[in-house]
Amino acid sequence: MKSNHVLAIEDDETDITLMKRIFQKQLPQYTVKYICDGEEAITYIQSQEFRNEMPRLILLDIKIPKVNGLEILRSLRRNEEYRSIPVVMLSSSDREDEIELSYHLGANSYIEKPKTFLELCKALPALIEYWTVYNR
Amino acid sequence: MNSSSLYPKEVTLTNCDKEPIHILGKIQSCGYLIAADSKTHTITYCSENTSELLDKEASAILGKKLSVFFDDETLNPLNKLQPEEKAAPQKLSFKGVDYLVIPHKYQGNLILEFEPFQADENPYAHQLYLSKIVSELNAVDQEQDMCDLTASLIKESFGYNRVMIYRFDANWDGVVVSEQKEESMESWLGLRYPASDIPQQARKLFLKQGVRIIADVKSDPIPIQALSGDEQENPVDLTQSELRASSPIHIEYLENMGVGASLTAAIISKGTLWGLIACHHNSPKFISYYKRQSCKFLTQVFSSRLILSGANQMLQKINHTAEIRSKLLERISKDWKVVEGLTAHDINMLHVTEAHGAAVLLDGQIKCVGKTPDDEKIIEVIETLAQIEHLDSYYFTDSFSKEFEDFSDLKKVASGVLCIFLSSSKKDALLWFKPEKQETVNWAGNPDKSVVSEDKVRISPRKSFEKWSVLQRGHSEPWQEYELAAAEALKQDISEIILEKYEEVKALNIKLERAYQDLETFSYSVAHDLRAPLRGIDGFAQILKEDYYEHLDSFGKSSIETILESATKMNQLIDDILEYSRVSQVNLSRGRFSLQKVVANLIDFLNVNVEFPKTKILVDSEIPDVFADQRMLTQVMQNLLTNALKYSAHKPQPLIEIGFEVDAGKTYYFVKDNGMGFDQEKHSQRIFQLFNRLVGKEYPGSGVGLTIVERIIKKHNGRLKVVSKPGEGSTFFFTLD
Repeated sequence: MKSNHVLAIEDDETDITLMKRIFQKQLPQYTVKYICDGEEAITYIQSQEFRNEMPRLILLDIKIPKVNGLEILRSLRRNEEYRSIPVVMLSSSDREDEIELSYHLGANSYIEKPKTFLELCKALPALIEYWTVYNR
Repeated sequence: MNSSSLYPKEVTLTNCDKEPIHILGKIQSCGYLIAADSKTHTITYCSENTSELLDKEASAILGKKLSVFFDDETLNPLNKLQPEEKAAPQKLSFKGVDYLVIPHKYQGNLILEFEPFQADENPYAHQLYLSKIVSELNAVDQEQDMCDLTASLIKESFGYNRVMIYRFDANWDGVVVSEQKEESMESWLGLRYPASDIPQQARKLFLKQGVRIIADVKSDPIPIQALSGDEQENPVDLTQSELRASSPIHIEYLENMGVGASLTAAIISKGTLWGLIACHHNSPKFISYYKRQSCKFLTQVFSSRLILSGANQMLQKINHTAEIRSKLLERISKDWKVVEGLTAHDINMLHVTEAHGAAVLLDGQIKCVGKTPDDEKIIEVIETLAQIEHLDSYYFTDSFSKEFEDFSDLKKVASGVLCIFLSSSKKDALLWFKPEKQETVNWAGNPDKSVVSEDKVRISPRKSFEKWSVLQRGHSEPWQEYELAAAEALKQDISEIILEKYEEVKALNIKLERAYQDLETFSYSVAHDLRAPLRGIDGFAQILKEDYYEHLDSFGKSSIETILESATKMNQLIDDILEYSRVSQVNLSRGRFSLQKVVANLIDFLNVNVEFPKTKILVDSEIPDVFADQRMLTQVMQNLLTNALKYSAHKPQPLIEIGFEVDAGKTYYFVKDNGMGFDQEKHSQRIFQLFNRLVGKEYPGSGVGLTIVERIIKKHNGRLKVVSKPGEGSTFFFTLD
């Protein structure tokens, strides 16, 4: 397991750009793979590539085109091997049912997307730090 | 004959109403009566004069079988008689004189009445006469013409000196509506007779026996003897007798009028007595059974013509009002304005009846047409009528001021009142008014003295029938059946329209509520979705600031700051909107907690000591615990506290008090500041409206805070109020249910 690999499933290009910058500036030790389409995400987590390079952490947006984030989570957790990968749901919604379902399906954390960039700059590194250490 | 024998059962009347006129125990002197047990044919009663026919004393007749005196041919048909049935009359001869025997069965008695047979009876002429009557009566349409024609037909065929058509009103007073008389006689046309002249038991007998004669008013009636001894102990019921004697009171009444003989026929309409055909003759006059039957037939034809013409006239009026109603309804259905639609046009609710004024009261709105009392009085009338117990949905009278003395000043325009309530709550009503109609009523003698007291023992009918004129006041034209029916129908129509309208409004409300919910869901998700682009704006401005700040001139730098500030404001607005929507979407989860603690946490959370170092906050340590949704109530306190802090900050010594008051068992929690305050009269409603702000940009805020507070308090079934004065500060009170 590569210790510095993170998978971000996110479709908002602005958010991706902002995340890229935060990783670049504050978390340069990590390599991040961005996937912005649900189907693509499903294909990827079933691929050999994914098995070979299991990420330390998955950042998963719920509202993803084609296949919803929760479906991706369910599909991931179906595989025994992948159950230990920490998954942080990053959502723009704070709907209680979504939060509940996320944990039920095996999410490790549910974060409402920070309102401002500065908050994101604080939140993202803290999250990565916490969940990568957790699995070590 | 002394008066005690006239009044065998002490009917020395104070009230003719109780006189048992069907069991007087006498028969008119022109007739004879034998009554036998209908099963055994044993003769149990006979009039004293039967001895003239049978040549035997009454005592020798009583107790014998009928067959002793009558042959089988006479008796056989009687065996088949049903109770209350009359048999066909037969001609019998006694001692060379012809008599007509008229048998009938009543109350277990077979009653045979004998009357003189008049030889001139010609059945063919009789039939011709009847068909003439029918065709003549069929040729006239107007009620008055029918009455006049009938009176003259009867006068012509029966030869009485005076023939009157006498019509009852609702109180059973009667008016002579038509008269045919000898020229020399004084006219009684138009005279009114009080109800006591024809008492109720007499009216009842008229319903059973259509035509009755008194052949000789002056002759003494013949007593009936009974097998049992005293006839009056066990009287024979003469309800259906042709020739029973009349009440002595009635005889005296006729004598006082100077009448020698009479014929009376009942005019029956829809089962009730419409009136009478009353014939008077100056001298004794006997009319044969067959003629009486003709008279009965004529009266029946007359009655049915009356009913038909009445029904036709009613139908015409109903059709007319139905047309008006449909016009009114058409108008109302167009714009739903019931009150306007009923009153505002040339054709209006007034025309549904013959009233002179009309009014409608609906949802507190009153409108009048025509001549009516003023609005206030009308409302008083409705309120008074609504209080009448057991009153159904409507009330009508033609003498309102007499029934309600408080309203006697209304009698000019509203002696007649018809009120129909539109709902069971009796708040909404339709009214019609008829003016007073001062009318001279001509009584036949003073109606208050229809009986006079002669001595202590008995009272006799009045002796004078001279015209007695009375000016009748406080009465209107009566309400006719069709008017009541039309008013009731209009009420039904309106109720339906109101119901329809109500359903429509209800449906609209449901739609509106749904739209409102949709809008809330929509604004909730829109607010959410705004987050992402806003994060972009904020993020990229931040990146610009971090990486390129040095390369920008002062305008560029300030622009970036402005972008960042605006993004922050917008984020705040989104927060507020989301909070606002959340309040309506989330259900209450109540618990008991300390409001004081909530406030303490807030002071800490809002960093008050640092942000507002001048401000003093006093929190009453006695504030009782509340039972509420903690998250929401925290929001309430946060919003109120933030406002108080914000609007008092400019004061030299800002002071905020948080406490409670108890009033009428209710706890009012309050947040009070000594800040800028506002003009309550102008703004007290506005301040709770979404996005409404009383202040400018110098006070940041979205205009959502107090709306959220109000929503949360409402959700707790509580009340929120504000007391404020410009320059002195505001106090927000709230209760929680």
